[in-house]
Amino acid sequence: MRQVLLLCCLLLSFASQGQKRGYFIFSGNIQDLETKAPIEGASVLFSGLSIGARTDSAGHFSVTLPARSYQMVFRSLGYKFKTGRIDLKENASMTVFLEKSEQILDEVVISAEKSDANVNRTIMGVEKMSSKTLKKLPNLMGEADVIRSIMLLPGVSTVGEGASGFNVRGGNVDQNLVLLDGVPLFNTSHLFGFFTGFNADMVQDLSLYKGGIPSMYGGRASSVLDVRVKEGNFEKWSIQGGLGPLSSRLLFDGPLVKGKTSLIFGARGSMSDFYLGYFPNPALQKSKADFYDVNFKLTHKLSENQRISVSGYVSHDGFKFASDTLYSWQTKTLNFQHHALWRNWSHHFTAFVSDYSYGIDGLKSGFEFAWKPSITQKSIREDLSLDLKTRGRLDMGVELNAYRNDAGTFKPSTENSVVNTFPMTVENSREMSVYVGHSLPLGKRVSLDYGLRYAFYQLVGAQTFYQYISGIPRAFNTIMDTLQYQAGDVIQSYGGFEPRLSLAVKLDTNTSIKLGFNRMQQFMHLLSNTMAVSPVDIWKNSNPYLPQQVADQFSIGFFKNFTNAQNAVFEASAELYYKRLSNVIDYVDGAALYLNPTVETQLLVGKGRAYGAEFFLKKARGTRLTGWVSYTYARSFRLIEANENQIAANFGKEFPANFDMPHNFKFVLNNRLTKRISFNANFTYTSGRPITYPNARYKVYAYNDLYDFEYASGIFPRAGYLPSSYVYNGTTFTYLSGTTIAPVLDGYSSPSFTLRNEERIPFYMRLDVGFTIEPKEGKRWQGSWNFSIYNLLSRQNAYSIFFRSSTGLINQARTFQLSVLGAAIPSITYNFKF
Amino acid sequence: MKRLLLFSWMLLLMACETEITDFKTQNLSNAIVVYGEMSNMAGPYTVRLNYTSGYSPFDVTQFQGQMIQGADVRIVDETGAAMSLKETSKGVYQTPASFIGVVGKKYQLKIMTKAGQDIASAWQTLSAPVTPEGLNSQFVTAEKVENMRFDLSGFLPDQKQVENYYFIKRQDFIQFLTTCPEPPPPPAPVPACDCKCWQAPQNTQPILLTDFLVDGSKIKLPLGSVNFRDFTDWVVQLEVYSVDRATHTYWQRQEDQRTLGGGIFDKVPAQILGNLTCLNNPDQQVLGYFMVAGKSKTRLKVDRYNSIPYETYNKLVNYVEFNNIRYKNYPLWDCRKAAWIPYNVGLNLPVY
Repeated sequence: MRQVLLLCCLLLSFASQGQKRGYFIFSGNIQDLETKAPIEGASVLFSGLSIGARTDSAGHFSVTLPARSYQMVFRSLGYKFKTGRIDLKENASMTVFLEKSEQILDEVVISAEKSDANVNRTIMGVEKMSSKTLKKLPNLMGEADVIRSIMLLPGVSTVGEGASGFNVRGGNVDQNLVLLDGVPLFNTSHLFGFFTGFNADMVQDLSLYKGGIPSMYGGRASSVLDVRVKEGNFEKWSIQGGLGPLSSRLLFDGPLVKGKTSLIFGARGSMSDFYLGYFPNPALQKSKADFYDVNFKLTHKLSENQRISVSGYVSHDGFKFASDTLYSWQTKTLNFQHHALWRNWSHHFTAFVSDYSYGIDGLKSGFEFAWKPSITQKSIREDLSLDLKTRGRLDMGVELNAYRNDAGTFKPSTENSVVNTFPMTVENSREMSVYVGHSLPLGKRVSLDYGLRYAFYQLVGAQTFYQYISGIPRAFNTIMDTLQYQAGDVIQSYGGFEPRLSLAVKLDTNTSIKLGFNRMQQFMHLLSNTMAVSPVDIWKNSNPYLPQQVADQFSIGFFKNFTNAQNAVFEASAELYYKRLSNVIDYVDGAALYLNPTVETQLLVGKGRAYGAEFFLKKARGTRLTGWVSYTYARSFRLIEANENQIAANFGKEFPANFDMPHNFKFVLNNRLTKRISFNANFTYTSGRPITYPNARYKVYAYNDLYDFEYASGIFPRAGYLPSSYVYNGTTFTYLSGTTIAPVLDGYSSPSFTLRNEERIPFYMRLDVGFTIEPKEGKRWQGSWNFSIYNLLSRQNAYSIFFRSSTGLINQARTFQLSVLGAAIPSITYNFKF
Repeated sequence: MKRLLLFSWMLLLMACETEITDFKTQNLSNAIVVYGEMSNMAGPYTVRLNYTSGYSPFDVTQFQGQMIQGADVRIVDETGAAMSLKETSKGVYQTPASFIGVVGKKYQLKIMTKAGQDIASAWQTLSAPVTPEGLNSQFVTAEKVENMRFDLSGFLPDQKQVENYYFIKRQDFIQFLTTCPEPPPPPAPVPACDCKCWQAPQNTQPILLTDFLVDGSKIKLPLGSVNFRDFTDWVVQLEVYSVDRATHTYWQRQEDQRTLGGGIFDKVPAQILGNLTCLNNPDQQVLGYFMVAGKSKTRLKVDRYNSIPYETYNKLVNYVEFNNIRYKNYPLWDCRKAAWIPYNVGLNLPVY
């Protein structure tokens, strides 16, 4: 507690330095005159100053200036420039409308930031992507997709097609904090991970923090994917949508009160159940694979510098493959935000409630059941930002979270069902975090971003908790006592400081070197010992047996930008990182995680480390051609040693993590062939992921006493007759030939496995291409077509190699390869807007 | 357009599983494989010892691992009494037939190999056996003989508030008929003709059951059905082992490994360790299991002649004739010599 107070004092002392007279905030919005759409990347220049401002993806800009009069120029490529004047005596804001120019070909930009941001920004390991870039990338079944798009960035990988989530710099899938307008999502997948769980049309922009994570973020150990949702248009209604082979989308936005209140509403739904009904295969006809998601955001401007918004998100998936088991998962969130600018303060308040539920429905007659675990999160947070003018910016805030993690009571779902109710634990926990961060320029060449976050976590009752005999590994039969905690009783507390530090040294205007360190803590963990994370994997709170995961990351980077004769902007970077992980979770061999009240007996806690180098070259701006190429070398290892409470994994030796894929090459190309037609392609190569190969095979013979009976009865060896045949003059003659009946031993044939993850499945390689035909300008109805081919090479990339035991007549354990996609997948999508 | 969309969907669903036939690893494992059982029913109880074999599924020389001969194998009980097993064939050790397990007693398997490896199982309590109840067969008619069947049913009574786990072996015995040759012309005597034998298609697929989530209810036995391709008898033998949680988990993991599909719900592959360890060398891996369990053996006889409605009789007669069910092209005086019948166990069933 003393540490928290200390941090609060520190925070206040920083804040007191923030008041400095003579400077004011000038902010505004730049929009298209005709469509009223925000213009991203527009610049604002001020007379007598070398600095300017640039609009973000929402068309906003904000700059702190000394009090005096300015002549201003607003410009953006593809638009006629506009001039203006302002006498800055107090904080001010304005909205500027730019008119489209008659240019034949605009510049193509695939960056969400200004061109020198990667060099000038203090932090590294950050990737930003605008909604425009998202839609320029080739996609699967015509769906622009957030998670698939970030997988094209260096340092981001997945274990295979159809796997939920993604891995960043050697971290587990659950170590990524995915924020949708500030609300953490526990599951980001549709259709088992083929698609992202939210609609790309709703996305304003996204930022992926792989390293150099600002102190305002916490709760996950590896990375942050911050996805911002668009606001509705305050001036004009518009409707857009798309018809694709997989799903259809509809989005409308516009003013409820012109200039004051706007609404944006987007919905997307799959049509797969409709198609499955047409398959001649009865198994597919009985299958189900539907999903939908709905987003809305209502924004009201209280004043030019103050707005509130209410947003919501609902996502649902249901999957059944001709069996009696229906898998489903759904997320519901409701979010309230208040944002205000006051003098040199910026305030952002967020309150939200989210409910993530997942589970299985058994549909077998007489055994109908429902198992629906859920996590309810209620949060409030306040973020303050203070512009310290020449002394940088100070960010501070506090966040309070309450979690209710229901492990899901197993219940009969019909009156005739014979299954019993099986109650599972409900875990209640709370998490409080405070943070402060300071962006400090130290002269013209050096800048420093430092911050500190303190996170405090408590697991509280009511709950029943098992105590195990100490000194021996936890197991079901070592339960010593059962402790009953009443509501509100503290079962376990964890906490700790999370320092964040980034230092950038500019060697010249286009070159910089950066250093970084950050520590992250994680108190909620996804339990998954399957080949890839499944959407119905269980989340578990930290408890006395499961301390918080801690990740320390050290990184160093070199950044350089350059332009060619055509003013195309190239961004180059090389980043090295080393990550140290504590208390990572692993599992006893063959762990049973579902409906297990003593699941801690199946869990192991250990250490991890990851390191890598990321090389990135991006052509961010160009008249026709943009894109990037990246190469990543990355390794990730785990070490689970035996101690008094647990056995070791892999004989106590370090082993590669399941997603350790050292070589990773990505190439993304976007080529505008004409003003309306563009071609895009991306190529991905990754090393195969690790796998445990068998080093032998064994049989377990004695399944019944038939062998003994036959042997004792003298049945073998015994002469018998086998039908035989021969052909003479075209006629087949059959006869019985003498033989001896030989006993054939039979039994369970199983692979014998040895050291974990010592081998690799074959490498992954995929090429996707696509064409987009943009609508003609000036037409009210704007229709565009997207033609794409996913996996053009038709390569059957190995998703897994597995070793199947067998029983039955002389069968042996055998080896198989599974490829999730076995062919090139063409698709056509029609998008419209009016 | 609809066809195009359907085609796209078909491509998306074209996950393909291919067998890797050239997969080879050298046998780098020196693990010992032990498998043994004992119960409350008459022995002899068999324990087999061998090493693992190379992982090459199509190499017949690697079909079974090298047997471990000359080991000292004993079963000891909680009182310290030990019963030595005699090596009856290479790597196969058996107790005397008179040695029978006692319900409620704890047993341990102890092995000392010639190489000096001291192997022991965990102590196992011989649980009380459970006998299936309600075993029954029900004829289900159909238009075609191929679709006619006898549905089998039965259940295990379950004790409430107690965790129960079952490991069940099922062995079917199917009576078959061969055709006798034409007798020699008189005055030669007509030779005796044995044309009714039993076939026992060996089944090594266990049935695993638990009362988890159905505690206290009758646990339905998944017996499926038997076909109606001849009038002969069909016997279903069930050996029900009442096992503990650890034993059930071991077999369940074997089952999971057998039913892998390579997809996202498959567990990460890992060694399946049983209840045996090498005491004097912890690095020596011991695979397999020593299973001690209360066991019941029950047979359900399906009478495929008297249990059928009259109208199906003629259909089956024609079916048997048309499909040459009785092997009339290969007449034999002694059906035991029909070597083409797999697991032809002869004229009689094993003693119950």
